[in-house]
Amino acid sequence: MSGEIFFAVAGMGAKTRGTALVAKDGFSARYDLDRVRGIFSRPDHKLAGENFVGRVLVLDVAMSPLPGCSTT
Amino acid sequence: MNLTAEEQALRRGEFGEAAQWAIEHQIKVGDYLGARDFVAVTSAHVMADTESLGEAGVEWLEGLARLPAHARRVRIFTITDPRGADFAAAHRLKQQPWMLELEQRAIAALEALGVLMTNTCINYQTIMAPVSGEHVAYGDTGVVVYCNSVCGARSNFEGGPSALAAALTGRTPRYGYHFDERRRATLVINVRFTPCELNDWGALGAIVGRLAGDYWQVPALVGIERVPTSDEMKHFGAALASYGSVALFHMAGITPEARRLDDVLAPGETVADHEIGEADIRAFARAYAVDAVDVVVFSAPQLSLMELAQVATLLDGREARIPLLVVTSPQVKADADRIGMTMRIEAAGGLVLAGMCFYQSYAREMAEANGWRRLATNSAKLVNILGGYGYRPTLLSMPACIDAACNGGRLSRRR
Repeated sequence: MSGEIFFAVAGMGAKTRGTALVAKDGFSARYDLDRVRGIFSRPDHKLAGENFVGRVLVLDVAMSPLPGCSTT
Repeated sequence: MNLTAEEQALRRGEFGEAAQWAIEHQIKVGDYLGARDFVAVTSAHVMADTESLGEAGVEWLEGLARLPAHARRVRIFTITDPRGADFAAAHRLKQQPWMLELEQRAIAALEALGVLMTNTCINYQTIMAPVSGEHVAYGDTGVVVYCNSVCGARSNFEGGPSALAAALTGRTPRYGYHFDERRRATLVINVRFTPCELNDWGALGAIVGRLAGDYWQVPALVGIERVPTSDEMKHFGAALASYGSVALFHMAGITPEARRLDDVLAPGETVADHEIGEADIRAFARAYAVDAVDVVVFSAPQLSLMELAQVATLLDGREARIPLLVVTSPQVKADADRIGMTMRIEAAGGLVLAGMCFYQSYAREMAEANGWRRLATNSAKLVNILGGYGYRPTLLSMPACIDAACNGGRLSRRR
């Protein structure tokens, strides 16, 4: 555990607590995840092979202006 | 956010329960992104394939569809992105009955809301292109980047629920690319090589996308030596949006907002510049090189009638010896059937699919069911996506893809 603190420009939703999975890389739920097995599946993603189930994802950019929204 | 009287009425439920959900969703999105008010939009394009929706998403849509008719209908022209299946050919792709059942449920729910099931990501080539300055709410990144950049329309990437919310309220939070100031260039790309083949246009888009790297970057390209065709813009933009999450680009002297480069540069502001040449494009493709392939796919974006004609001509007198999938929109497919193009492609062993897109159609499950791993395509966007679905994709020109299909998967020297 690094104890590092990350700040976001904006936020929404309820507060949550958990172990973070952190990378300086983009994020698309469709491009990067095997959503059935719960792992990062794109081979050149910095979190490739990591299980994201139950983790708090901290990434720097998303495939949209609204992280986690569904675009393709 | 500042709300008009009509928006307050939407919030009180006076326009129905679906619109009430929608405006609440949009206020949350608007607050998150710093929007002060809404902007009216003329049409919405909704991404709602079941590979993305899943059971939970379909159940949520069905909940809206169960509302009384007056409380659930969209208020503007609303169309859909590709679906997860072409029902007529699903068995040939070894798609499972549960996939089709889920798709049928989603279609029934969307139709109950008044959505037109166009099932296309090339609506700007086949349905109706927006005009310069028109505010819209579009949901496929390739659609958004093309309509913003080539047509001069104004949209952000609207995720599935957000695009549907815009359809139900007729407006969207005013942020990002609805504003003039967000549409200025943030980096300049000096292009030293004007591509000829669609895969090279895609590679160029991918390289620019990697340089841009996030949603708020607006690249301006200088040095493109001729006006690209609609299909070239389509492949360039789709790859740019896919690799870089970019929603708007300019081409100096070509796209409508950049008759001159200075038109899109903020006065007195210096932006970073980069240079891209043919060697960069070749190096990009080499990074995805394989020795042989199991399947050839033309998709992402769906093919125009012109692209289908090229595939048909390249296949004339030849025979595909591995699966060759050619994916287009329902609108183009009807023309291709009528003109005889579908027959020519399928007589040579290809399979023309309509209303789906390869990666939105349970690509991982199709790979496992059919034993596909190595895949050739001329779409840089598809190459970018399919690595995450367990494929080893390679980027080739359309003629080289056809060669690979007709040589049983062996790759020719042709790029």
